[in-house]
Amino acid sequence: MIPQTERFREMVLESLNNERRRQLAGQVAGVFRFLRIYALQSYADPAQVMRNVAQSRANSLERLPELLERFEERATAAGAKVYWARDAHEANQLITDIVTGKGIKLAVKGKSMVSEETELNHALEDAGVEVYEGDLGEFIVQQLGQPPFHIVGPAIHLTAEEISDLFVSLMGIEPTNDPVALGRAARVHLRDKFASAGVGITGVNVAVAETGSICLVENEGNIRLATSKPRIHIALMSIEKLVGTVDEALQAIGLLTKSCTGQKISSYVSVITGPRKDGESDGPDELHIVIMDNGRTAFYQDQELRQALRCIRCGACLGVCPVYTRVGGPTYGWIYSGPMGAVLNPLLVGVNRSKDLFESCTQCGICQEVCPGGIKHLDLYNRFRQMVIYGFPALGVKKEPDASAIFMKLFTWGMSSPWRYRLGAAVGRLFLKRYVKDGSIKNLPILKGWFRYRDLPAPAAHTFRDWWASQQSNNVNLNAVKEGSVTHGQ
Amino acid sequence: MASNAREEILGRLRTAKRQVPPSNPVTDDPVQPAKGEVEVFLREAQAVSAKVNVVSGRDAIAQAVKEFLSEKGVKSLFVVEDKRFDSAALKQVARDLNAEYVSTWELSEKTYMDKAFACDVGITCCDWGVAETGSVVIFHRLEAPRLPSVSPPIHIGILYADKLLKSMEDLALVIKQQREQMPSAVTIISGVSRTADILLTPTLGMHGPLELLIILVG
Amino acid sequence: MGEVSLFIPCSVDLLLADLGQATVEVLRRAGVVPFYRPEQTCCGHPAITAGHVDLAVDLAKRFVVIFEKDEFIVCPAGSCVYTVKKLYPKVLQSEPAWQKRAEAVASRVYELSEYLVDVLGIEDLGAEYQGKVAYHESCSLLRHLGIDQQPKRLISNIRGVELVALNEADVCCGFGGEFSIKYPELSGAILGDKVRNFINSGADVLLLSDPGCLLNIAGYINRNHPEKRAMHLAAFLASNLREEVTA
Repeated sequence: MIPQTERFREMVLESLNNERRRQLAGQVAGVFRFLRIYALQSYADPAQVMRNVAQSRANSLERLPELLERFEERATAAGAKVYWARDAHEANQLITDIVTGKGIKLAVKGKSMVSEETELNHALEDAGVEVYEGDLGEFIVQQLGQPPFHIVGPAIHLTAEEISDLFVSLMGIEPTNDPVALGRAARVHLRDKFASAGVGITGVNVAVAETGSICLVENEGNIRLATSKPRIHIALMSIEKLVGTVDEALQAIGLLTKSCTGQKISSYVSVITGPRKDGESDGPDELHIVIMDNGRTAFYQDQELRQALRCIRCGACLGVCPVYTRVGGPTYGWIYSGPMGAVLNPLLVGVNRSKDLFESCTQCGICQEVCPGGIKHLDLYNRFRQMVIYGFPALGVKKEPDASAIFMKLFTWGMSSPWRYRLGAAVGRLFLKRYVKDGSIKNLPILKGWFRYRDLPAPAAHTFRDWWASQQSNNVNLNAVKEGSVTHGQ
Repeated sequence: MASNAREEILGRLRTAKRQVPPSNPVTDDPVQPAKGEVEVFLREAQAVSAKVNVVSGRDAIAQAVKEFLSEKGVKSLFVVEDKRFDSAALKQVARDLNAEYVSTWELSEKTYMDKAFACDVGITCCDWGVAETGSVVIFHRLEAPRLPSVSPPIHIGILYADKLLKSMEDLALVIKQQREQMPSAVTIISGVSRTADILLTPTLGMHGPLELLIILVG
Repeated sequence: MGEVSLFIPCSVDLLLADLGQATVEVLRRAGVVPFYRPEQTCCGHPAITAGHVDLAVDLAKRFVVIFEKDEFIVCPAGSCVYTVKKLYPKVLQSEPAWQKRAEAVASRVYELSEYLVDVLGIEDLGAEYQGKVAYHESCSLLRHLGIDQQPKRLISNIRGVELVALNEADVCCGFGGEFSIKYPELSGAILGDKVRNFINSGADVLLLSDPGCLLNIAGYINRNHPEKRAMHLAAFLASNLREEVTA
């Protein structure tokens, strides 16, 4: 997907003015928030599980090169072929070469965010391969050429009519608004793609170093089909998907499904270790695993930024973010949206061009509370803000002059001495009082954004410090225990 | 060029400042996986829309299959024959239902694949169950192929109750016990296939089976 | 009786002095002796959260020097307490000696309701109000400081009051400092929902514990729903204290 993170402000306005979008984004909020809380209650100690998984993610990242090597060794021993790709171009090239080298013309895909990073579908199509997304939501937005609305529900913003129209033109069905009927139509349409595809291409939810396995999580069954029938299975994963052990993997998956869709576990979890063994009736003859960097080792160098790699793509942060839940996914301008998008898009696409993503944060902190990876989003946003202010050559972040920087310098300079503070206060209060009408300020020549929706109160007649000083000088002994106090007489 | 990529990526990771945690000591005394309770399994499996039929023994399996499939008008059964159930009895059930009986064994590759996508019912054994989530688990190998439990619209899975584990943690222990001999795939099945991709409306049945019957034996 | 050092946010000093006065009133009613250090200015929160961490170093050091002799430092603003306790360590990370001193001071800084309930053990200040109120959970208190029971206990001990449920009480009000000015439509949308929830709750007054939330919500209500009120908990308590208290 071509990044459009610079268009955030524009797209926010579009989304807010789209009544249907707004309502939907809000519904998403309510539904996912509730589902997650409900599902977490099935743990005897949800907080402990959250800590365990966060610890596992953190430790795995500290041991990442060793885990990657172990994974490669075990996967290779099980018969898989493991490849390394520095960037999107290399990953696409590797995969396209495998597919075209075998003369394959049809590919079925499981949902994979990293394949969106690399635009793998386009690369394959340019090489003459037909690609079908197997996941229903991804299939729909793929056919419509639209960006996904939400990491879990890419097509939930579309009406039944829009989907029906698509299916009528694609499959010749009778028009219908029934989601079940539409799902069945897609099942029939995609079935022979699964049956005849030469290759199944998937992502990886979690990779296990100790066994060389890849774990895939789904509800629909398209991944199971794509990894059972086609002769070739290609799995594309980014470097951070590793954990050490099977138990860590299953624990993370259990927390992923609860955080993501409120399910104790998804309908299917596949733990795949190598291609099919001799004599097995199905499963791929060859398993190719492509491990991709695409910008991650660059920010891995920084111990604070490294935590961004703990993300397990559960989407819990989206469901609770006051910003995301009013504007939805496409507003974030790239594959990752919500608080997670405001962390990853700057790191993968560019901090300067993604500025609005992390600056449009109220700093409420609810994302941090629900994150299974224990990521401190607010710390990362603050780092990004610092990068834009001071520059950060290690990631190619340019220092950006900003009007509010001058104000901030003035502000902190003023605040760092009591007499400057009092002088500034006097001037400021005098300025504000000029605009008071009927006890409040309706507008100012500055800070106009505030007054779009709200007033400011008229400043109180005195500052607090003047009031305090006047009490002292009027011999009102504030420093005595007050008569009638709760503890008076004790 | 490919090995350059590997060295570059690993090199950058290795030279970064890291606080490598001490590795967990390998304990000598293995923890045994805990058994699961049938009532918990029944409740959880039903919660994910699987049907469960508890039968007393191996001899009752075929009848349970017949009861479930009668009235459904199925035309073909795709059966992974296994000594854990009586194939002859199942063949009779197929005849009673006027359905074709297809054993997965000894088919040519093409026929196997064609039948996998054409048959109405897949009948397989399951190697383990997990009570906490109502899951059945298949360790895929020569005797346990993958498609029969995913491509037909109906899946009947046969699970012996003594293979019921308590939780996912216990399943992880069982999987770890495979060590260097991991099966080519392990599938954890929890209910029927589903989606909520259209209008966030949850619907049962998508690409995988639309119906799942678990026959719990003993 | 105990002395308490007042940490008065700059927003309170400059715009909302009544809130400062109410804080003093409440503390005196609780039987402690508040005093005020006039050298204090601003904790630096706006600079830090905007990423101008360097500009806040001097302000952080000033705070430490001004307050470090005090045993109890009490503040009616969650965001300022959060700044001192959680953000100063980061601001001063390149100067470990200062960082240590800041951590020592921070351990003695309290949000007002936290101080009353957890330190003094006082939940009933002798206030009375006949009517319905609702409570908005400021992000800085709830999530950054873990303070949620204390304000509610103080409210529920107000004689005659009915604390009604507020839908999405723990959802942000949309202030976010600079955010409210830089992204007005987003802020307005979040704020609009907060106020809608308030109105639907049936409460006459919305209580809260942070001046930022107060300016934000009260500013909106003043323009759009002047029949309703949003008040800081301290101001509400102070204005509803009963005259006599049984000795």
